[in-house]
Amino acid sequence: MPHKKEQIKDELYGDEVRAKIEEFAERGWDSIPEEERDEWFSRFKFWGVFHQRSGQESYFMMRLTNCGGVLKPDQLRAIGEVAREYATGPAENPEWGNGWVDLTTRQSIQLHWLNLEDIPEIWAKLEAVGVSSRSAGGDTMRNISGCPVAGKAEEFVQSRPILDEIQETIRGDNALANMPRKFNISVSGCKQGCAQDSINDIGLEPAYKTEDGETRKGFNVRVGGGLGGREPREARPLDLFIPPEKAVETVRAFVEYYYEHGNRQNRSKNRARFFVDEHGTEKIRDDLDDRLDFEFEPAGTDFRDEYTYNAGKSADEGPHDHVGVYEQRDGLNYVGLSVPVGRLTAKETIALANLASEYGSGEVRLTRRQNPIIMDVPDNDIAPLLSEPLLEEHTPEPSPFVRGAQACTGTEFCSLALTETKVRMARTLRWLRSSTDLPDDVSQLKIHYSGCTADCGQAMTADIGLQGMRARKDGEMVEALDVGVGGGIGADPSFIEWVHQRVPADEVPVLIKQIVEAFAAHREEGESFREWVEDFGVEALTDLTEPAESDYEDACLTDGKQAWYPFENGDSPAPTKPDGTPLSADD
Amino acid sequence: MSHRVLDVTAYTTFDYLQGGASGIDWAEDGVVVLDVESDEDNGVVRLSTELDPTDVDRLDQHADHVEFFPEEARTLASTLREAADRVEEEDIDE
Repeated sequence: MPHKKEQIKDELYGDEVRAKIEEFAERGWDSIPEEERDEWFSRFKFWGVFHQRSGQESYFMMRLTNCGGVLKPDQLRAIGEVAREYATGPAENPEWGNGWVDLTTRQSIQLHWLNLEDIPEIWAKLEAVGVSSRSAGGDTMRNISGCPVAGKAEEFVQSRPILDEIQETIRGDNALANMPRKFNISVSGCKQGCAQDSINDIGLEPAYKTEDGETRKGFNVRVGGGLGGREPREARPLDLFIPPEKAVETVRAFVEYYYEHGNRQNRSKNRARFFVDEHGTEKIRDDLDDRLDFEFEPAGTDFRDEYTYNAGKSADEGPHDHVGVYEQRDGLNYVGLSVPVGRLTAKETIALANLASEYGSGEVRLTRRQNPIIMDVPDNDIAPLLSEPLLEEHTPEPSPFVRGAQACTGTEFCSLALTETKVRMARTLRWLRSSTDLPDDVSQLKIHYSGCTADCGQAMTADIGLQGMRARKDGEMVEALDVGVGGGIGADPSFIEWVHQRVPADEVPVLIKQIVEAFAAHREEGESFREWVEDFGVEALTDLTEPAESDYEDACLTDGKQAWYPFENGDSPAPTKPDGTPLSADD
Repeated sequence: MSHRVLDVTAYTTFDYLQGGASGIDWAEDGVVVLDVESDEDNGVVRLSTELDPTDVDRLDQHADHVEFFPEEARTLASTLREAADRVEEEDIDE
């Protein structure tokens, strides 16, 4: 029997959901019948509109989508203006106040604290500059990831036209809106591996074939990768090489295949990675062969051994993120900023958009590490751009701690999470910068924090991975973290192993400091953190370290997911009218 | 690879319980995650437990599962309720 979510989707899904959102917005929050809220909120997600968690009723998060992280001139400014005007809630965040945007690990942007009544106006403002929230959530193809500087930087094979065509013809196809489950597509043409094809449901990675002295460029196809806490998988090779002109139809064939045959009964086992487990790569390859009318050939030679993006290699082997100043193919430059945990105030967002117009073409691109890139900057404008106040704050030459940090949304808004993440990570970074030295030749150390095992912050593939948990301390339940080391992507993805589990959150900074100091003391010269962990061993690191309190002050140690907002103790004002007045005031 | 076998999120039934594992001549204490879920496909309630892997040296990381038909699950629920009542009564008697 189909899962009940399938029945909800059968009744109404995809593009048709939009008119209902507009209708509810017109009539106000109260017009959504209480008993129907769950099913409507489930449908709203297709349009990137997510009801926030319990205690925050009537407030919504909107996730935008921009294929491969590209924001054309004026798009970021419009997003910043929307954040300033509409993304304001009934409580201030202790680090960022009110009105800010979150850059995501799928190269897009999330806005919080939106009122349902404002959604149509927000859409009008964003869509006027070509920004959409369609297909950003729910059981659908999510934002397509690619090398963020595709088309601008050196690529072995051009991926930007392919990304655009997949976006327009496959993701935009309403007939494929209702997938069995969320579905991730990535295409990379560069040799760094920055689209992280190994953790996508279908990933195309650059490859080549040499025959009779002639080289043909194209892609190898991998399917069934994903990071979720329950049984993460590296995408598996189909032993299939395709030329660039067959890329779009190959992706479509796999999307349609999963659309038709994916499991619609059991949602705990129906992501495409389980589909690949179940069918096996040989059968999938054969079935795709039946669906496609060109001749299949075995995988070509890839560049996986050269991948440097979050590969845990030392920085002198190549760029491991897009932070810094890099030359483009056309002689201009791109400047990658480092934004701690991906959160920018609305003011900073608008300032960034203005700087992109003043010094570059106005285009801003987003990486998979929650960072923005200013594109198309002439050589002569680099120095003045770097001396702008915003780039001193979110500098392209950050401390390795800040540079390598990313964090999911956490309990601030997420109903799955067990702990707060972003404020804790920001404060931990500040504490580490002031108290912990790294060897001079270490410029990269990835610390990723997820609020629970769903691992949206990608802790499993970090040098130091943190996952939200709970512990008992001084007779009280406290927010705690599992702390592991040794993950990474690159040619050979590996997942972290736990050093200590359920470490009370206020004892984690000291533990990270000890781990980093052990690395500094025991590494061979030039050894990266990931390489060192492999040599040194996790058990030895467990023996050498002991979590402890310090002068680090945690913002919400004892929240234990109980409060309506992790930094507030009083009663929630939600649900509210758009002006913030509690609706209960009418009673 | 060493990740938790069970998902631990805000929807997990218990993310922190005291427990342990024991054999003929050994016993180890640890913190346990316990989750209850409905498996509608198979018509059973599944109760799963997992000891924190770093708490127990003797065992490979794993989770244990028990399946109950709905009536059995209700029997377990009422047994637990009665046992809980007795514990509280003992507390009062003391």
